[in-house]
Amino acid sequence: MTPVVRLAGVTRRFGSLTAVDGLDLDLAAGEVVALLGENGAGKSTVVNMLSGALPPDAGTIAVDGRPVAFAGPAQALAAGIGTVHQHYMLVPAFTVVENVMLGDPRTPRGLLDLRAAAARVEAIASDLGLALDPFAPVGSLDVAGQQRVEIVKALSRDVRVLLLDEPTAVLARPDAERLFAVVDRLKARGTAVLLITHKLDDVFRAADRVVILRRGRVEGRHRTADVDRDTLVRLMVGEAMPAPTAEGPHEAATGAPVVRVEGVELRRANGSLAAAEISFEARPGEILAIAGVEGNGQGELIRCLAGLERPARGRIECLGLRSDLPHRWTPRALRRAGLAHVPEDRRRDAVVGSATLPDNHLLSHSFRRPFARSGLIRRGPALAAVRAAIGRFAVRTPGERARIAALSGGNQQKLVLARELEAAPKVLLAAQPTRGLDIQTTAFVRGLLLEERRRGTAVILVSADLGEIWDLADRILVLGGGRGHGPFDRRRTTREEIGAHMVSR
Amino acid sequence: MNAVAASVGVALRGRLVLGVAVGAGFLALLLGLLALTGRDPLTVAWTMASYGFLDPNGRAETVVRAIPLCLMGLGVAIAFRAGAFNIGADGQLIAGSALAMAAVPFLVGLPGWIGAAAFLLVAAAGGGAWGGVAGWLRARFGANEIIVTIMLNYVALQLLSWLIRGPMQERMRMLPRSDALPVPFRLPVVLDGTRIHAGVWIALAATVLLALVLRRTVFGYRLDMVGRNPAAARVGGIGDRGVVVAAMLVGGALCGLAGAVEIAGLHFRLQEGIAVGYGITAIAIALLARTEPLAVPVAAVALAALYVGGAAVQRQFAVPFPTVKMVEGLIVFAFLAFVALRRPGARGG
Amino acid sequence: MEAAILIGLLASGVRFAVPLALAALGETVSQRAGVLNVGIEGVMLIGALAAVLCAVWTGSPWLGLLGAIVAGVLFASIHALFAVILKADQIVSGIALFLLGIGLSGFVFRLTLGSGGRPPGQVPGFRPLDLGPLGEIPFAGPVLFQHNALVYLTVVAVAAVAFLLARTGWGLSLRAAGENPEAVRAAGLDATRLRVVAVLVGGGFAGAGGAFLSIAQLNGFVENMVAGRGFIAIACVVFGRWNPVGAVLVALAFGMTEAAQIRLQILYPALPHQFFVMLPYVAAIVALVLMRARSGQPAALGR
Repeated sequence: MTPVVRLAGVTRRFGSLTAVDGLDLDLAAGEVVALLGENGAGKSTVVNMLSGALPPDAGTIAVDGRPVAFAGPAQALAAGIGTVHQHYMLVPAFTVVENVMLGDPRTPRGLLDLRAAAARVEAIASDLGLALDPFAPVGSLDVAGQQRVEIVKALSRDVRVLLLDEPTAVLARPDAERLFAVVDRLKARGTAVLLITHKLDDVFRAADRVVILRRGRVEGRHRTADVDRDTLVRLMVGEAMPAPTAEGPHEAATGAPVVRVEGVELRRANGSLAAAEISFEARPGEILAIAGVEGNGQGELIRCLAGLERPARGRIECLGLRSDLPHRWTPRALRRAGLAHVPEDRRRDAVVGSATLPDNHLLSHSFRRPFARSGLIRRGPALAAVRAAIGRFAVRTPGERARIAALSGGNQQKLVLARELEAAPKVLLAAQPTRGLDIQTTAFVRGLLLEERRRGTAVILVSADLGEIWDLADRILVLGGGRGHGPFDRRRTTREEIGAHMVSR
Repeated sequence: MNAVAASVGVALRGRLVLGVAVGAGFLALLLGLLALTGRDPLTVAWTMASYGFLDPNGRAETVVRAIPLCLMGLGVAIAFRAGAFNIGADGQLIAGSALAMAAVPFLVGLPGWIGAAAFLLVAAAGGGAWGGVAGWLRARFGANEIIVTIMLNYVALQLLSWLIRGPMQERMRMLPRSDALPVPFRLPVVLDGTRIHAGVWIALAATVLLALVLRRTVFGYRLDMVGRNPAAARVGGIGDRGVVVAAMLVGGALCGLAGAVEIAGLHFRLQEGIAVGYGITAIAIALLARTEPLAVPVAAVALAALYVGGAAVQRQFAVPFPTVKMVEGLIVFAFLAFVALRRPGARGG
Repeated sequence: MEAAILIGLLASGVRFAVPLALAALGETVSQRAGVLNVGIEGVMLIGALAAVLCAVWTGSPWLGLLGAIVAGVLFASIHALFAVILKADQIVSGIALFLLGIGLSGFVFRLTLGSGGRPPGQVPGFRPLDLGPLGEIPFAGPVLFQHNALVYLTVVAVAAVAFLLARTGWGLSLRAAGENPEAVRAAGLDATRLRVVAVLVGGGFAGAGGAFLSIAQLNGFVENMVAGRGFIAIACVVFGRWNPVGAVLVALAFGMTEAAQIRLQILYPALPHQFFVMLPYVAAIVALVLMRARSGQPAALGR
């Protein structure tokens, strides 16, 4: 039987980097193949080539045995290949049905018939066993709901191949299970599914076969039934396995709390409720983790803790400052008092891409010695600090005065951490500090957080990765269903309990 | 190593070729437009480009015009650096000039140069207030500073029109203009036989001072970071809103200073036409200098020469004067084209 | 007596509103597709001049209008090239368009009409339509039914744009390009092309707005005659929350302000007239200050 899609010797380079090197891959109807690899293994490049966003440099892609050269996503869709991107390609301001209609060749340029289209959306959704209100604004849906829109949108184009790019990255386990139920149905219908993931659980739950990618090359192909976890991990990571970082929780920290959150209610930028009834304290020498499915108020909570906003209700006390007093609840006042903040969105909130490494180091120290003195900015100490960080954290950079945008994400993150730890903080906010990093850098960053705990810092860690939380946290606060739960002592709770709170309604 | 050198060479040559190509394209466009006048476009273009540099009188006039253009260019550039678009330099110039002239009766008693310095400072304060308001409205209310500064230009023009026909009109009540500035407040001519006045030193001093402030001070550093990434600056503890207000304030002050310098060095009176659209030219200057203060005087001289050349062309060939504004627009687009095309992967995507 | 003043005010307010409304309508289309054009002041100038030139040349105000629209589209295509295709900074490109518009319109004006050209009186302009009995309705007649054809065309254009944006597939794609161009590309559409079209449509409307100023209001061209209306039109878009009908209603309010300030000058001759002339400009600033929440702003505007 001819495979629906066949990749033969497909190669793609970016400058001197070969992102995908001679990839051979077949996808048959009614088959689920997992493409497994770490960040940077080349998975996204494969997605981009199959979805028509990027042409390969060499090799051929064939659909139904006929070679194709996609000039854009429209042609890939026309050939029957649909994609659910990791970062959803949706218009939040539009309704579900508007998103589904967008770009469909059957959508008229003239008057739209939303009701007919909505009926189609409902038909596709119910066929997959999904509940979806066609007239709900996409921005009001949670991540799982938005993913359902993406899937329906792809299927409304009658695709025969569905690419799922890291579909479980931001889903809680029960939502992931619902997703795989959909995948099972698709498989039964004869759709070919390519599941791009770095999670072994996904592979074993859903895939028939697994192809392991490392540094752009195929490291192995296995039937899922014939392979074990250790083999896959070894193939995925190569020889350099980092030592496990988990130390398990310490003795409960007993010092006086440095952060006290009382009855806080958080609202999103558009005014809707993100989470209410959040209360916790953080003490020196502990890691308090904030768990939850993304979009349940973590971002808002961190912004409030960092002094960028004030809670809609309740109050926060941090290092002697109070959020309900005017004028003093600012990032600078908090930083002066001993707060450090590693933001989640590195490119937006943590680095100034077009500025040099020393200037980036100065970013959170422009008000304190030795970096600022009598109104003058001092780049000498900043350069020395950057030099030290490059040495200590093994940062790979084209130079000490390079623009930070020239560095990879992991190296940027190391420098951000070096900067934030520079002034020996008493409270460290770390939002998704390991997201997008490779395994080695992840281990390094986790080690730093543990070191800070030993030093007596109160660390508040936001993570979507329950595994990471389990490895690092002393106590866990869960945000879910519009409120805060806990915090729970990590030694006296179970993953099941935390997971249940995450998806509580 | 050789490979690196070779690729650098290719990049440089590519940049040169690109620059020449873009420049040639725009030059051809300009020559075509000039040909519409029915004169020989090459002669017209050559006169326009060269008169302000090669002719002795033209040279002196270029410097005279470059003085306010440099100060206003700096004023616009500092706001651009902080990520704010100040296109209301004209209004800030008027506000500064008017306030300074209104203050003159209170300053006449001051001894020697102190009065003259106070005159300039009051102008800076007036311009700073006019620019600062726009900055504050943006920081506090999110009001788009482009529209606000332009609107404030029209408000300032009307205020000026009223002042010189009303409360500040000359005692003779003949023309719509103020009384002449008393001699002690005027800036001396620094080159005999020309109109070049001491404002040239003020402009150069402001340039150096601003360059130092941007490079060496905490304020300059914060301004730069806010302009490049306001969100990250805020997270880092830099109050981005305050920085934007301060940048608009300082920018407005420089424009107000430009007005006082124009009056004290050239016009000696408050009248309509002290700000003949220099604010627009100041935008072109700030863009061409890529907001780098030390490059502002160079760009200011270049565009001042264009003004002078444009006037010469008008005298000699009766080619309309707005040619200068048109050329300015073309220059900014040529600059944009160069920047955009040089960026890798600019096309398609 | 008072009724007569009120009628005059409202009727002339409608006429003052039309150029703003047309420009704001075009800017709404452009911004809904994600492209900010701060240079529509320049486009309006070009349109105003082109209208006069074409009207004088052909003797027909309708061909003058057509010429203005074509000139507006062509001139805005520079912005489309730089801000959309070359991905230059939208604001810088818009400012350059403004500069070039001032220069080019002044240059061509002096070349053609300025030096011994036709006096303004001889420009064939739009005349008020005779709508028969409608024009004789008390109050409503003079306010609503004694205008020139362009006023009614503007009303039609508002309805058409509102319908196109909200109800058609084309509008859906266009709005998506202003919300999330990556999503548009992933859905198989050409976001760049959609944006280019929106900028050109915006240019055509701005050109028509300029034409109204020159061949329906003033019957002639004066350098810099748009006098900031292009920027006020942007304020209309913002205050109208990026909704075409909203933008036009705000434009109507500005038109009334402009009409009112002229009448106030006459009513209060003791007060300096300059303070009345300032009113629309101050009103624009006040509108921007009052407009706190940015709801309705296209998410990808300016990117």
